Amino acid sequence: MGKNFGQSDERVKKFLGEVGQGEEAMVEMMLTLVQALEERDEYTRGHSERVATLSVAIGRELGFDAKRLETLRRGALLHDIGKIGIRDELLYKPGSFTPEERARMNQHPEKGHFIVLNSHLLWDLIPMIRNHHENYDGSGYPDGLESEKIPLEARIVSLADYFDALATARPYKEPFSKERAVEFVVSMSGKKFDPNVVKAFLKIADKFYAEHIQNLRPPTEMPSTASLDEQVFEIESEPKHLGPLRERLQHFLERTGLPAKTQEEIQVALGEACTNSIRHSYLNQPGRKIQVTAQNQEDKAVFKIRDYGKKIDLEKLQKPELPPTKPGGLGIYFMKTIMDEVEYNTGHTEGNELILVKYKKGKPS
Amino acid sequence: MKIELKRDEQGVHFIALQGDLDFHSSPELRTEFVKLVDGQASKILVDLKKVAYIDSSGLATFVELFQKMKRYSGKLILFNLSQGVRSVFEIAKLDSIFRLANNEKEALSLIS
Repeated sequence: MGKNFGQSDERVKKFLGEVGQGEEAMVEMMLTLVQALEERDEYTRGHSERVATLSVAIGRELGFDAKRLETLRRGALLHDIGKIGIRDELLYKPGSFTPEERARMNQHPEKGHFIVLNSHLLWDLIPMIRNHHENYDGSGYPDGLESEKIPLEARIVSLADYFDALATARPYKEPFSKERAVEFVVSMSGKKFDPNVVKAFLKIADKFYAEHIQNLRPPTEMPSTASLDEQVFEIESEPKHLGPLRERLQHFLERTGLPAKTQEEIQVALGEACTNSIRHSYLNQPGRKIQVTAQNQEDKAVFKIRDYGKKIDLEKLQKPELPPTKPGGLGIYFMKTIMDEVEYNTGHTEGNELILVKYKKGKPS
Repeated sequence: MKIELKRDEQGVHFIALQGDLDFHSSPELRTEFVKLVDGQASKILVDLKKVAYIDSSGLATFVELFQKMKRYSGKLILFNLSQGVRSVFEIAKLDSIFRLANNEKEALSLIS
């Protein structure tokens, strides 16, 4: 949208209609910024406006007055403005990021903060731009703020942003159904999202979806390659990287909808697989790469653990007595007990690849 | 991993652990255990309240301590296990070997 001045004019009128006269400078500046971002990132088109609409609907449920709603709407429109500062190859990369890429991508709230800092007219919007990736439980970024310490406006934009991302198509995933997207938001209440914001959202979710998302659905099925929710995690072959890897995997595991206990057990199985690579494949040699490719499929979660070290014959690894009376051999036993399938990909000429599968509704017979 | 050690007048060693117990942190814990075994510590209570994650190398560290203490008839009790940590003990069928107590009070009553 906004490919020519005529269209921009329409948008100016639309915005002015809502904010009244006398704020032209502010509105024009905002539009310039929104449009700059949309020119950069095609996927953002429409997204910012839907996030703004949804945020305002939630704010209204929470009893915001007109002035506060307007600030909320503007902040929501500009929440991703920092993505202007993200390199093309990252911005357009479908789905999977390496840890370094993820870290760079996660700088966009701070970059956005720096951008709007240049105009005092936009300072009210900073909380929504800087803090829309904070999580209610304190696990978000960039400030790791917790619960009420996260500005309420940012808590609202966070939910609206996430819901819209789930419910609409991305280069790397099909849209979730309304039910599944709503269910996900509810499952993250108190963790990622403020329970009160979730409550307000539930009151208006159906209406918002019907009016703003329903008609976006592509008429035809997307190609199957686009339906994959996949993330690649890469660590170096040192034990100290295992903990941070677990933290990153946790966000992925939460998306699978598997029970919390199963998520915890999968963490153990994946930890064992990576430990295996560190100890037996790389022989405790630091600085080598281990990649974990995680796929959230409709009926199962799949994890591929890939290293490039010495070939391991899993069958030759020590078999544990149970209960164990001496150390060793437990790792592979854990993988096999926790996961529904453990396969060794024999197709690689170098290194090892383990494929671990967990079915969401029990292993099919 | 944070390891807090104390000893009461009855000679019971309390070890409170904080953090994940994995291939990274296990060697550090093992070092502490080796010292205790060298000193023939006869009663050891391990508080796992603040341990959210344990893997096979963490278990192996406890198995080793358990085996060594058995030689001099020492007693080892683990308590305050989170659900996730307990399920790892269960998968390895170690819940039947180790004395696992629900809380400190129960752990103390088991050891005296």
